[in-house]
Amino acid sequence: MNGQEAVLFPVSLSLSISPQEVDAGAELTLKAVAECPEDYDLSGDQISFHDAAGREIGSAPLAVLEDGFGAEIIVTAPVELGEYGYSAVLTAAESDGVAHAGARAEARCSVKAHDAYLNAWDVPSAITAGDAFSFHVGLKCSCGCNLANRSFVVRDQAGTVVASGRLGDAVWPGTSALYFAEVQAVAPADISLHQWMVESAGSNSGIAHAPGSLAMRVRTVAAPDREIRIEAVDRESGAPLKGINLIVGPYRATTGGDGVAQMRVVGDHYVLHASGLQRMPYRDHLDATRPIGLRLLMAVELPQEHFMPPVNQKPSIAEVLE
Amino acid sequence: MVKRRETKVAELRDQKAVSRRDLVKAGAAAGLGAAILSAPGKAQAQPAPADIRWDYEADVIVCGSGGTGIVAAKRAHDLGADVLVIEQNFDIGGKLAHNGGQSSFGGGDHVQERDRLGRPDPDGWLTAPLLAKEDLTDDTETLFRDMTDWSVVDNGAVADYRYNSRAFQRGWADNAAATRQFLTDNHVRWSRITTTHTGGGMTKGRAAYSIMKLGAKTDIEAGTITQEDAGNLAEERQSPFNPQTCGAPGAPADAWGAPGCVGGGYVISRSVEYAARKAGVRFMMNRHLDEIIREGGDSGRIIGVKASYTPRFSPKTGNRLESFWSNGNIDERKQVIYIRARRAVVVGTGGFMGNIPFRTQFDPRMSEPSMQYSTGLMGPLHEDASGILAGMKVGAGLGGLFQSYGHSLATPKLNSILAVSDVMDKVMPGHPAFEFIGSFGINIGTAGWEYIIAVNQVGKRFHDEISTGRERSAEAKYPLGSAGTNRPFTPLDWRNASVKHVRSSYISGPGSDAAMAMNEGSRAPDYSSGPVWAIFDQAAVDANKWPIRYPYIADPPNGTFFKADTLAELARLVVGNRFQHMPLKYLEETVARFNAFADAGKDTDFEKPVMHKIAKAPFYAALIPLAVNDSYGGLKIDGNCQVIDIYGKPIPGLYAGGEASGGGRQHGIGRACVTGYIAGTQAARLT
Repeated sequence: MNGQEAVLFPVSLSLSISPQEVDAGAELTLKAVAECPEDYDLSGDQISFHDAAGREIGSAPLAVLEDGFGAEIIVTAPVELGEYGYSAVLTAAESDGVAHAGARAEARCSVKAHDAYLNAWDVPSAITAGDAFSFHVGLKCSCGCNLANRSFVVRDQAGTVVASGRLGDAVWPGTSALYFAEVQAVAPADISLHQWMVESAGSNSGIAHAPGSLAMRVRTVAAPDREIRIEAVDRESGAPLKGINLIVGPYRATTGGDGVAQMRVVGDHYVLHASGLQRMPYRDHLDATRPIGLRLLMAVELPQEHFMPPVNQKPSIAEVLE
Repeated sequence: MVKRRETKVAELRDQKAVSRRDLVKAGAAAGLGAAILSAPGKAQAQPAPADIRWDYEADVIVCGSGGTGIVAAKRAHDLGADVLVIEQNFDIGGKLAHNGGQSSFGGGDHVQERDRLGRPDPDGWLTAPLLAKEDLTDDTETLFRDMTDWSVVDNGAVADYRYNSRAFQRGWADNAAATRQFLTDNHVRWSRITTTHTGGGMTKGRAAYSIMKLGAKTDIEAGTITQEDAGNLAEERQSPFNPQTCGAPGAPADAWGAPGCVGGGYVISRSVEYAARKAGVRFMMNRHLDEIIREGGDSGRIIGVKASYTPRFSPKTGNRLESFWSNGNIDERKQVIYIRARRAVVVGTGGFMGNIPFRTQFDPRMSEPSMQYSTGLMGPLHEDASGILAGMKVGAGLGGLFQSYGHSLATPKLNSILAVSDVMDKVMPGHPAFEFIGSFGINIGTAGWEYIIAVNQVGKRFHDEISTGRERSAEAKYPLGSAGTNRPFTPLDWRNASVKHVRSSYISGPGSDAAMAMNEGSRAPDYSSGPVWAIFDQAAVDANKWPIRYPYIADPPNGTFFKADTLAELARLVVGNRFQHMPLKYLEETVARFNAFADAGKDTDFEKPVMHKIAKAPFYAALIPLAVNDSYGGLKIDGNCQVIDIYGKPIPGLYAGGEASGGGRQHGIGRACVTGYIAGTQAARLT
């Protein structure tokens, strides 16, 4: 520089690791952020990243951020569980009459076992006490590992195993790695809301997996002794409506193609709730102490304009059928 | 290689109230980057008025081309003025173009009279009048009285008309009928009068829809439109002619007494635009109002504007978006220009809901940046308070400052259309702005909330989700106050505002308030509430047949919809939304608690009456837009729509209307077009 000394400007460097707690063998992002006075530009300078042993594991050029310059790389976390350290180095540089002395930063993270996410679904909303029923159990590893043949158990509130099984080879439709099984069980003999637990044991062979557990509930009811017949029709045309969802206390049903649903319930007083896509919901008391037939005249829900009250919106109503 | 910096990031950041972090996160795919980098600059020093080298001249400069701007421009031109319109977006129309088309004028306007006398329309398209004669018997005094009736209190306990500016409303009432006639003269056809639109008075029927007849060709003068231009050709296809978002595209107008017709604000927008272009009005698109220039400090007249080039580029092709019609356009691409106004400047730039620092002056909860406001349709600079701020800098006073507060149209509301950033941007593919919006959204209706929990940015529920459908506006409406007034309305009767009456009709909407509340994720300095999310499972999708596909959800994803195998994954994925800065920390816990409520049949947190468990994978998170429609409060104007300064004196040569002005709490086309008509008339008459 024509014998002139370069202008030395200060730089600082920080290193962050994301996530701070990472699954064994999963991806880890190391991000270095360099800062310097506003008049200088570090973009393009290389950051080299190193593991705890000092081995370079990658490098990346600095790019402009809102408040400085950043560079990041993605690396694979170790398989062994524990604490790990990494460092980032910005080498001293000089050009165009300006220079900096470089900087170094360190950060640590911990490697943990893969998490297990349990799920249970299709549990009937009301099960006659002592009856057999089925539901689904699913398990997903936080890293999407293949969990086929992984075992699980279902325990009742006293800890007694009431069902067990192994996950199948297939994943649940619509998911990437939710392995599942259909579970057969027998409902408790007493009438109550029972809490059960689904449990999956952990594993330390190969990549470690943490154990998982999930609470689920089983509602048992007395044997039904009344029948309700509900017919859902369009309020204007009288055309049968398929797919109207009906809730009577703990019982649930959906109308079929003829607009009809038959429900067997325990004789009692309930609230009947009926709803369907773009229909005004219906909700009222239902006396099910005797056999009853209802026709629900479901009104179309007028398009919503969020700033307007519904105009001439008819409600859905019910007629008792003799 | 180290070097001195050529461009300071800080300068770029200063150009727009959006942080560079947001820009980097949003990415160029959102199309924001290009717009931001070409946003109005602030670094340039403002030359003294005498030193300005004017790039263009016109008698009247109209800023904005919505209901106020397009009407002011054509009206001023009709009166002999040479008019130049500048519009920050790529096409004409502003909010008018996607308004539902319900237009409330009155005072005995010719459409009221037509229906009162039971006459057919000139085209013979309409069925019999919908309202009784006495409901259509109107005059300017009745209209003025209605627009200042202190006694009207809506279901939110907001007095709709009490604080309207008397001076402004006098001028508005006197010009309402003339404005209807002006629009008719510029090819707008009207349905039968249906009711009175929000804020248009309580005692008479005053609102009709602007309509066109479906036909073989689109002919503005004949009032006909093709199915394609109406956006009716296919269910999932919209038209660049019609960006209408209120109601279905090309909504059939049978219910308005206009069978075979379609309607919307675009009818007015396109009709007046057509007439204005044909008459010789000049337009400069992609041109944002930065400054209003006044000579002689704060005592002189307005002599021009400074305006920036703000084009929008297609995120897919990189091409600049172009207006539907181009005759009369001036394609000026210089970054900053000065335009001299020989007579006047009309400010019709819209309100302030797109400007977070400005809107939080009215409601601090609106610090939340995810509350979008037609940014997709009208660009990131839409409703940025530019006209109001420019007016303030030359000494303008403000009117109606408090009128947004608490008003149902100006307060964000949870909406039942999910997976879209802004429900006002409800557009299908086919309109150029869809590329910015990305999704039409999924309308779940009232029943859909049975299957959904709504959570805040930390994953906690905050209300009975089913109540969302009951949070609609409580605006008082003709003739009985259909949103809850439980007895016939009597003008100026104190009982309209009695405690007993308000209590009997009050509808609470706690969900939206709770959604905007501070929570554990709120951070200094703004303590924003964060986005709110609808959480549901595959069982809900199966039961309701919701269309979980493009164009109802975005493809590629745009951060408004997420799907995951597990709730834990879903909780992390949502940070893909640029306004969601943290995972939904409590989501798993919240769902487990809700599922326990569903099993028990009782929601002890929020008393939700119907619940379905959220258990069947996959799981979904869809953004719940907090919709806000209007802003009230802006430049103070008198009955001539002339801007009043902070000392109470009119500013020579400066006019304003629509949401850029304050002092009248009326929604929509009626307010915008009448103020445009008055402003255009007055501006043209100056010498």
